[in-house]
Amino acid sequence: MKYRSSLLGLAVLTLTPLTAHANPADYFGFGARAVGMGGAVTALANDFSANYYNPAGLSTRKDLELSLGYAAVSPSLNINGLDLGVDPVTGVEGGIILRGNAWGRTIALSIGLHLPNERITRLRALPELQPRFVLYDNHPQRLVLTTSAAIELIPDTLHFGAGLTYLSDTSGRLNVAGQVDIGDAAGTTMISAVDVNFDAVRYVSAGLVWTPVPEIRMGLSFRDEFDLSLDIGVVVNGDIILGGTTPDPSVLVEDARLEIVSQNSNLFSPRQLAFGFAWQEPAWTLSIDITWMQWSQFKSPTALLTTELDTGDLPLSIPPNPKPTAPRFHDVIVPRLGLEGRLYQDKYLTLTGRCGFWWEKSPAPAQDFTTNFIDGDKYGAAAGFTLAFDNVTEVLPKTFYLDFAGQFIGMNSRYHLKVNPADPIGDYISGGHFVGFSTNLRFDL
Amino acid sequence: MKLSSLRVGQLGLSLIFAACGAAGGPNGGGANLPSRGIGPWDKVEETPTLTPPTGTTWANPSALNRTDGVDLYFEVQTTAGSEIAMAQTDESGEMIGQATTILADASQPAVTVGPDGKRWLAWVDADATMKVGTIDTDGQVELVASPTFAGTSPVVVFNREGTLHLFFVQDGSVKVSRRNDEGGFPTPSLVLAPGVDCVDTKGEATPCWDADEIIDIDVRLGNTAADRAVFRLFYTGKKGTVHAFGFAASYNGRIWQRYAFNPVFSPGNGSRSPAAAISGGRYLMYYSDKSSKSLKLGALEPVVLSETW
Repeated sequence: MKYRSSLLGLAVLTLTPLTAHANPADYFGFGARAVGMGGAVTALANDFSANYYNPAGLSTRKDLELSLGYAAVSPSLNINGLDLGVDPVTGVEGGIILRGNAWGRTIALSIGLHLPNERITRLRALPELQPRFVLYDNHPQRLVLTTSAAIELIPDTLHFGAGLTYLSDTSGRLNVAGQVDIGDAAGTTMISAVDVNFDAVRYVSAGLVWTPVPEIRMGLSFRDEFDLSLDIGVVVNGDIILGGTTPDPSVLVEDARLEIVSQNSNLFSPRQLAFGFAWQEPAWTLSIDITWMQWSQFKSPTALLTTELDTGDLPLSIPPNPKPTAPRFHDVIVPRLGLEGRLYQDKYLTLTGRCGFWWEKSPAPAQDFTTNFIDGDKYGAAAGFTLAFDNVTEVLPKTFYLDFAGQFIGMNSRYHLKVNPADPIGDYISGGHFVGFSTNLRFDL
Repeated sequence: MKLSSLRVGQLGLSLIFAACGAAGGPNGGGANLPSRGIGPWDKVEETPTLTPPTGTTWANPSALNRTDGVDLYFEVQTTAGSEIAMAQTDESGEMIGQATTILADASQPAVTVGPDGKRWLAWVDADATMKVGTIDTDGQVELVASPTFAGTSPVVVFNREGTLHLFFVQDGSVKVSRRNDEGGFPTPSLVLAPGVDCVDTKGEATPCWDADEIIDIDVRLGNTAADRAVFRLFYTGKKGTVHAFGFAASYNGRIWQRYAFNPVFSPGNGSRSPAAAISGGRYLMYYSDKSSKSLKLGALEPVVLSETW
């Protein structure tokens, strides 16, 4: 009962539009335990990481939980053996889970957070020809804030959870009006105004956890696609004149118009469906995940520039700009394996070790044509531990946990052999790796 | 939705976010980007040693890479006629030493290195016929073959299989003849004709910047970053009164494609005979300048060299 006001507050937050998404989690995991298990936690996640992996897991535990930690991943991605200087992803991670009872069932509300410590977000549109590790150069550089709610449908057997997050498209126009003197800049007079819209984009996630027998736990999780667009432009309306500084200027064109608009997909995250199976014994747990990722819907991050010019009878025109080339990504299925075991236990301390592995075939084709959206097949290996402290002090009568995980992600070398011998970039070889860690302090309250 | 105080606040936040993004990260994944050495080139303005003595014209350079500079072969024109000379540059490629005559009564030199390490030279002799020969260690030229067809700006290049290709310009087009087992040069085939087959970055047909004529060429067999052989062709193209340098390439010497962003270098209408080289961590392009009667230099820097030859 004492949690009611807190639950109400979290419920309000859950339904409030938030600038959030889960991209760093797509790439590098979310939460130290999940990272240490190689991400194979769709059936197991029950801490703040369940906000991303499977919200249904939030109601599988009875305690409240507060988590705070730090995660960092340092990429070393290269073309022809030379590092491109892709920025590391670092930030504070954590979350809070509030649990209570309603209608005799456990319910939970939660917020999960990844707060970058270098930038909140970054928008940019690179030329199509510029080589870039398209999934890593900019996408993980942003705030993640997920909110979820979960309920126990059948006691100790079936749980359902959902997350609903709102993101914001950005569209804006700089409107300029006045008269343009084509003979003397001093005769040009313009006034300007800015009109910006932030249109909400909804991002849904949902999941189930089913425990048919105590040893077996299965999870199914869905994360919807989202695509944030950036649509900016300038509109110039006015007369084209001569002799603007004179008392009697002559109007060459009345109501001329120039509109330049840049549109691009600023962030894309694919629709995902993950199935997890876990076998749990008192001393160890084996977990397997299979995730389908619909990368075939990936849109080109290259800006489409459209220009419209209306100068009346003046014979002026602007040739159309080329459309961005389709990136031709394809769907992938990512298998993950995690193993966890209790290594030591006494009255005050429990040490749990874990490791995980995964393999992801790249959704991107070899960049043999005009684009240079580089990616490669990846494999991940991770290991970690949890120190669970019991009865340490009277201040912390309940268990608190220290999670730590390190991970290595290798990206296989890939040859990009250009079909066009006169391609501006030419053949190149890409590859690299990531090294990262994640740590959390979790408190049961 | 029109601008309101709320929107102003959101816009302000957006601008702050964008500014944070712009400031964040030293390169954000844009460091060490590869360059093939195609262009666009910058003029190197201070190259006093590339200027010949009074009364002499230097023209039609051909460059061979050394580990510490460039061996530059070029045509020396005087009132007595033309001869081919060679001079070595420093690592910067901008300072050249004493020029030494290697062949009299000859012009339009082009030099390459054969599979056995021997230097091969193509040139045009005093009666305007193309010749192919070798240069021994003493700098003496030995005639190997004389093609039976006419042409200008001959260039010899070996492919990886060791076949000698003779590229040249004939009637404003680039052609090639591959030396056969008997040592002769059979009927040439067309490589590049002016004004046709120009495409943009999407492969769509686009008007040619070199619509009228191809004047002279420089061909090298390059190695891509993936260790694939590629023929690299720089050439002087002409449209109306405008001359500029363009680029085309081929993996097999038969099917060629122009660079979509041609021309790659427009140093002036008196510029001719581009000759590409690599030295001092830079791509270099020598060319002759008719107005100053001297050699000039263009460079690409700073870049990460991804293609070599």
